[in-house]
Amino acid sequence: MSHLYTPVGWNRAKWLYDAAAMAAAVGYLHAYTAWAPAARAPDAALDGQSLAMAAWGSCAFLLLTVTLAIGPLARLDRRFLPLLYNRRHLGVITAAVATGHAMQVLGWYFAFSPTPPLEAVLATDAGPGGARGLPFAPFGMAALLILWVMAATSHDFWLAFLGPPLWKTLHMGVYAAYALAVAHVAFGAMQDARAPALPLLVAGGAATLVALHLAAGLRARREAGAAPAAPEPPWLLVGDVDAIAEGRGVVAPLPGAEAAAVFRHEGRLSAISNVCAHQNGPLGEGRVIDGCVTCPWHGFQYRLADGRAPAPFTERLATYRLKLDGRRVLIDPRPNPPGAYVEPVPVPEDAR
Amino acid sequence: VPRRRRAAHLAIWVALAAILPAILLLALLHRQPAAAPSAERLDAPGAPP
Repeated sequence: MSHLYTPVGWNRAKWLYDAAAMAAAVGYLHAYTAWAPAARAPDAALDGQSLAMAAWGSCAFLLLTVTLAIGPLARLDRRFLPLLYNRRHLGVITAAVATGHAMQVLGWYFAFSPTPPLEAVLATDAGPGGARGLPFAPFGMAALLILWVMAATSHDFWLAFLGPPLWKTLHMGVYAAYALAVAHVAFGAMQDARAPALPLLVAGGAATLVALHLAAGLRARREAGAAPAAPEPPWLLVGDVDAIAEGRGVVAPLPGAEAAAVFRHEGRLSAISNVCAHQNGPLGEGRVIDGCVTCPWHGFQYRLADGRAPAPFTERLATYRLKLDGRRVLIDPRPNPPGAYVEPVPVPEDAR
Repeated sequence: VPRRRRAAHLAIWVALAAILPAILLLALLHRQPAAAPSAERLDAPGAPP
């Protein structure tokens, strides 16, 4: 068994999304490099290379935070759904920027070391955290490793190859990557007491993310608990009886079969096939005229209780059994033979 | 979203709600205030010539 690799199916929306994300990242890097020196105290001035490290590192952390916020935001408010559209590309950009940060670090601290850079970075904690005995580089390296795996498997090929359950489980590793990134920043850059705003920014971002995810998760749980129980087989839920207007119908999709049309007429419910015998018109979109369902396409008519066209016509449609569970309309998806009579179901309020 | 994955997401974020503040608190406790300018500095006021 194999899956064919197909390149990313680019469209205008994806181009725009990626262009905006990359422009935001590049804009941030330029803005940080331009304004951060002025914001720092004279005794805390950074050299150019350290400034670049801080710019790329903070950009990656910010991108990761934004990427993680998109999911719960879209669940809490549908207006954020467009951001979800190409979130995987945002994740790949985050991994690329984080890689840029790592390259800056390796290029600056270990460029001329006789020790291999990876070995050196693990043996030496070169930042302020390391100086006080708290390791911080391994946290960043572990987070970057997770981001690389996720970026490498972001393509639909891997989604198809691994299958959605395994792929989603693998990509939940981003939460571990975020916790590691927080530890990397907290034990690293945050140890520099000359950056008083950093703890507030990191804590604020983490608190916002946790609050968003918990709010979205609890809301989904609440909604799942409030959802009506599925009816007993073979009955299927059509919908609320009050959603069917007098003299009108609704289309009830049936698994593996043609849909049925459920009508409400003079306080009673009936169901027949949704497919007109004439040219397969959608009967559920028609209305009841003279006690008969009337096809919206060409006006063919069928009696509600037995699906038969009134004399002298001879067309017959399948009928379906219905029942009411409170205000819920349930349908038996097994069709009766065309023209079979089914007693219409009275709607309690209408019958009074 | 399947019910089990939804529950896993919620459990992970409940755990992170405990872990992230602990990391930040540990880091803040370990943080040391910036050193005041030392009188030993050659350019400090009152430094020996």
